[in-house]
Amino acid sequence: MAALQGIKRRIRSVTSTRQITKAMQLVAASKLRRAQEAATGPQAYIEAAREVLVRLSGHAETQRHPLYQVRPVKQALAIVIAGDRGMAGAYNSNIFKALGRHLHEVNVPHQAICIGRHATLHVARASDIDELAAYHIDSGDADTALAQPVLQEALDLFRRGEVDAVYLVSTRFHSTIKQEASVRQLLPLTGRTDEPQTDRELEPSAEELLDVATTRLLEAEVLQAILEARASEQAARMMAMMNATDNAKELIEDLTLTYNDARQAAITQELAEISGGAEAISQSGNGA
Amino acid sequence: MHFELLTLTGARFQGQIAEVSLRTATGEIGVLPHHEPLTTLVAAGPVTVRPMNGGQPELFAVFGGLLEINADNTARLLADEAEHADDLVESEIQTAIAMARELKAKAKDKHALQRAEELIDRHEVRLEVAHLKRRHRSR
Repeated sequence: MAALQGIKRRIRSVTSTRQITKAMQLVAASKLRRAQEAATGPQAYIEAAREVLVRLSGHAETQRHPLYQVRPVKQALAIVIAGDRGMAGAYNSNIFKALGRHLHEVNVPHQAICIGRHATLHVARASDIDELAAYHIDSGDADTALAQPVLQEALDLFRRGEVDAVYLVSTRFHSTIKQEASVRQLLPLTGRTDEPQTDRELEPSAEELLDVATTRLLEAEVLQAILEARASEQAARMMAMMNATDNAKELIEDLTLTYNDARQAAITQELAEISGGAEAISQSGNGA
Repeated sequence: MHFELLTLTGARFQGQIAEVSLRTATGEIGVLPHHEPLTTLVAAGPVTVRPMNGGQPELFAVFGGLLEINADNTARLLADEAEHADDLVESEIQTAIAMARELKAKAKDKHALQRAEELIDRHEVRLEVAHLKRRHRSR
């Protein structure tokens, strides 16, 4: 009897766990839809800004522009984007694995700007990277408000020569089932053309235009990375919770089967005892 | 000419147009089809897009951006944000300006003051566009 009650208790507990994971799965799914939509927003802008830059970069001013200066990398900055919360499968740990590989490859002292609570926690524990600033990712919908200070800080460090390269460590969103942790170089900028465009009018000056266009592009790229990271996190959470729900369902089925087996065994045993007892009584009656 | 207004939240306008007028550092400019290739900074202000088919002009408020006109008769305006005039409500903007002025009066440090001033500038552009819309209608 004690065994039966134990199984029953486990079924109840797994059932309530399944309700929770199912709810989290649904919440993540609805958040994912919105996040996915938002992540497509800056794409056209980024593409156009890149083209503008390529056309501008033929100008001699580009050669002198500070954000295009390639220096030997002695100090680097990593902008690490992870989630504020766990329960998203391997989402956070994939980012940190990519970061670890990158640190190993580049092998220079790194500082980090962390976006997302888990990024902050990880960097605080890691010995090979110093934390510089930390931001929370879920603190509202004001994404540009989040991208701007991050980029400003990165630009300042690079301009002052305190870091020689800036990397963006984040998750790229391909689809609901495919996300990929990636490391990209943000600064110094590369990809200029060498064919000068002379037939184009520039106002007010190539230098100023280059300045505005590069900051705008970088801002859009950081924003895009944040939006994609957000969509990826929700997708990862949805998949993780879906698996958890499926596992719970299987577990409940198994437990129910065991419970029924045990119950049947108990009933059979009881019947055997009763009929055995009845037999004994009738036999003793006959004997008298 | 083909014109696109691109923002960080997606394209706000795409299509064939007869003219687009906007504000630059040196003043208002109107861009007609087959304009010379030009890249210019766009100042905060109204952007008026006149569609090819002679329909109602579309009015937007932008807060700075970059205009690129190419030789293939296309133009692109990259703006961080653009608000359609139809989404602007004058009375709401008036309240917003009043609130921003209050913020400015209460600002304790340089940073807060700068923020408040930015906010006021922004709302004034929106108000200007809302006024412009009314004039378009009454005409």
